[in-house]
Amino acid sequence: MNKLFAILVFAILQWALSFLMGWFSILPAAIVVVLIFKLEGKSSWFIPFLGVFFGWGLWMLFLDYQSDFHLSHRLAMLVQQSGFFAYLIPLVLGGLVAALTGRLTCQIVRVAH
Amino acid sequence: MKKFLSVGVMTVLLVAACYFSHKGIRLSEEVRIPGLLRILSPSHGLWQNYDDEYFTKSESISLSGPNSEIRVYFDDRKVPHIFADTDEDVLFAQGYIVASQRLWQMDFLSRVAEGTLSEVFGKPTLKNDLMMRKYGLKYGAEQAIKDWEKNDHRDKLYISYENGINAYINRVLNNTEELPYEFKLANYKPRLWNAYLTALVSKYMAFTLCRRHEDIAATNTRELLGDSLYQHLFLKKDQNQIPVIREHSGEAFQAKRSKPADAEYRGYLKEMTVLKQQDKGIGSNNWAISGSMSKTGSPILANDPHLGLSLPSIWFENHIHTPSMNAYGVTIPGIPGMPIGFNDDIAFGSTNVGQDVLDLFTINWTNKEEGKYKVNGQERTAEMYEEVIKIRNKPDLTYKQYITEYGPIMYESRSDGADLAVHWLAHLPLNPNEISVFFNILKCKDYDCYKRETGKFSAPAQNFIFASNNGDIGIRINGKLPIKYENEGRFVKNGNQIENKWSEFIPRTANPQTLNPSLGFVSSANQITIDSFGLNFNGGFENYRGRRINNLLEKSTKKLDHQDMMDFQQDAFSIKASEMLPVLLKNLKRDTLDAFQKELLTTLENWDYVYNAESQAPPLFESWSQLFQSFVWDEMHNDSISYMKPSIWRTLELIDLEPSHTLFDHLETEKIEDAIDNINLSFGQLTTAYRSKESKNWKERNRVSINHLLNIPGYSKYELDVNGCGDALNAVKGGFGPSWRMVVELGENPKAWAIYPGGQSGNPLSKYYDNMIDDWAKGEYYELSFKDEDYFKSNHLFSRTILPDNE
Repeated sequence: MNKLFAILVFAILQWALSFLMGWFSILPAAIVVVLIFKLEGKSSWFIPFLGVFFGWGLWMLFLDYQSDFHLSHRLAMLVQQSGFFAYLIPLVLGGLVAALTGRLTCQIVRVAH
Repeated sequence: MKKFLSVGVMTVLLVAACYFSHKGIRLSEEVRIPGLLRILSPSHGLWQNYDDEYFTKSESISLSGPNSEIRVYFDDRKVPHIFADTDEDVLFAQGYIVASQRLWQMDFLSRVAEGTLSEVFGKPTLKNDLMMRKYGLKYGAEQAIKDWEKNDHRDKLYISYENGINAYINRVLNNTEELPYEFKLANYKPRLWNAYLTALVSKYMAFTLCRRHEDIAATNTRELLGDSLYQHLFLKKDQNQIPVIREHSGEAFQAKRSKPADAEYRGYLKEMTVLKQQDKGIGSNNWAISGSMSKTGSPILANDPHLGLSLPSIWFENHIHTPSMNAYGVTIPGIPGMPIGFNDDIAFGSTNVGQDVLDLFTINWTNKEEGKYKVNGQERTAEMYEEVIKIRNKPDLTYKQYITEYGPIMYESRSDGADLAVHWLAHLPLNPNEISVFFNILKCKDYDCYKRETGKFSAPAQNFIFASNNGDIGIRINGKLPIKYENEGRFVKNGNQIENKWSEFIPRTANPQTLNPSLGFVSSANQITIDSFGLNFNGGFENYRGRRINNLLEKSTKKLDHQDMMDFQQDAFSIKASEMLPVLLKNLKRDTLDAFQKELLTTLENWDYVYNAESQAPPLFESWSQLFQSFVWDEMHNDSISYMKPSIWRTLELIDLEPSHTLFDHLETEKIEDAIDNINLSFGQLTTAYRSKESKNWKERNRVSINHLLNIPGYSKYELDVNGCGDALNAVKGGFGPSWRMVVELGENPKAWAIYPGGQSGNPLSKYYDNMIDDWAKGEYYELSFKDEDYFKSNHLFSRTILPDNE
């Protein structure tokens, strides 16, 4: 339950910060969530990753829905792939960056202790 | 220690991931993956660029600039219908709305002309930038605005347009998530708009329409063949041609200029790599029929300008209305007004004249480093400056540019030969009023007004066509027309005497024109302007489309309506094929043909000369025609030297009159061939090639495609199923074709039908980006909504009310 809550906090935090920082908002969101929820081990990796996956995923889905799913289809035409790729690329890449940030924060906390 | 190492490694990994996710990765000189998180994040990336939803909501916006409220209603094809109280306000809105749909295209076109693509796209576009700098479009735009800025009228009207564009640019600069797609993709921002950028777009059109120069190829060909043979092949007049002006109704004028002695350069220019030339085999059509020929009893005007097809399209459709004006048509993003369209009283359009207005001059340097060269025996000094091309993520490229008395240096010799300077109309000071021509014509109610306003237009010269509710039809050649001696500019000229440069123009009052000719119609298709007049038009004129329009209109036995005009615009019949194929077939020896060859022959014999997309005869004929010409003109083929080849009509004349001319002999064989041998040999080679491959239909050969301006495959349209060819009225060829088809039926309430291959939105994510292409390919038209404001108040997709921000 606590982990689900952490994912939710990450998603909201990165959304709020994105107005100031664009996509970089996933970095401070990951740091804050790891520190607040004292995430360690695999959690420090997976929770920011899933936070991006759900946060961005729902956001994209909302934008796509408004266009009758025309948007993801047209976006993926950039690489001549199906609309699925318009989701997959940013979710995986953003997830990895957030996960790396979370894991690094966790490591730094450990070193500091 | 291990923990510290782990933190260090992860930090490096994270920084690298962030850097590449934002900045992108260069895989090679040509290929760069953009920062994927920058462009694909839902907050500021391309996910925010879907604007169709936004553009279904009506809203009011406050902007500083307009003096009173402006109402804009968008119809179901996203065409804006702009209602304003003053000229300034309507132009403000036109600038704002065009920018909201086509901002990146405007920026891109100005950069293409300026030669600054590399500044934002890096090395892959350097070659294009270098070519544009050589053509001197940047120099031409700088010359143009010097004159425009002198004009007070520009201050009021143009500045309103510029302010409208900049109001939108400021909006996207303040809300970066709204930056158009391609700006985000390439990670750069738009520049604020100004008259210089408009001049660049205008120069881009000049580059597209009047840069043709075969001077180097012609000089080499004359050197190869000698004067007599060159003249025999290239300087004869096509007796079948029908000029644009058949009955000149304007001021009489006889242009005179005698050829100075030693005017032309003699010798080869072997080492000059000719810059990209104007594409051949395409062109525009326009015609207008009088009420006596139409079913309605009122004139009908048709115009289909043929340009390079692109996404976004070069045209943007709009309807603008003030108390003193009500006009509908297409505008070029970045240039105020509309060059093609109609209003309550008149319809108008244009095709390109195609006169040769670009001449090359040898420059004999005495000291190039110091810019010293000789003219009329005296030493002159060229203006010199460092041309700097900024290249993204690379050091700047700089070279010295020289501006001589003839113009900028366009071709530089790679060894000791002379450099070539270019004297081009697009570089010369233009009419200061030119910037408002396409706005002022929208207010015209009669031919006199149209003639007066279009008379201010300088370059590229156009065949301006006209029809009005009061029954007038006319066509006038507008633009600066240099007075030349016969064939002036066909060859590279000597720059050793200033007299070799043309510098006078035909008085504007005497430009060729015809008003209400006895024929009952006027037409143009880029063919020669007029037979007499002493104009010495030296252009790359095509005759076939002009002849076809004249034939169709002259031979018409019934009263015509708008549907007939549309059918003519779709006409895929080739006069060229109808004249050439019978000659080839007549001279083909059939007794030795095998079954396969006979089968191909039957396909050709049964062909009606119509280039249907599904037909197999057109590619067969085209291949045979090309093989035949390469056989016949093998003397004039060399990979490293640029030569010209005679035109088809002249080749056919030679086959008929001089079939044993020595030119028909093959260089590579011992036997002496004649024209008939070439026809049979080329057919033999054609059938050999066809034996090993499947027969293609025309659409597989003439692959009609419309590319995104950055050539992004997913946002381009390929292999469209379209009838037509370069010589047919429906002149569709590869990436060229009718960029706007319009038919206007005049009358108390003018009606119009039109279409262009693209969509109103420049946003590749929008449903309105390419929504008209399929209908265009099928030959369909949309009836244009030329209605009053009351109609649009209740019939619109969405609206924008622009309120003056008085704060």
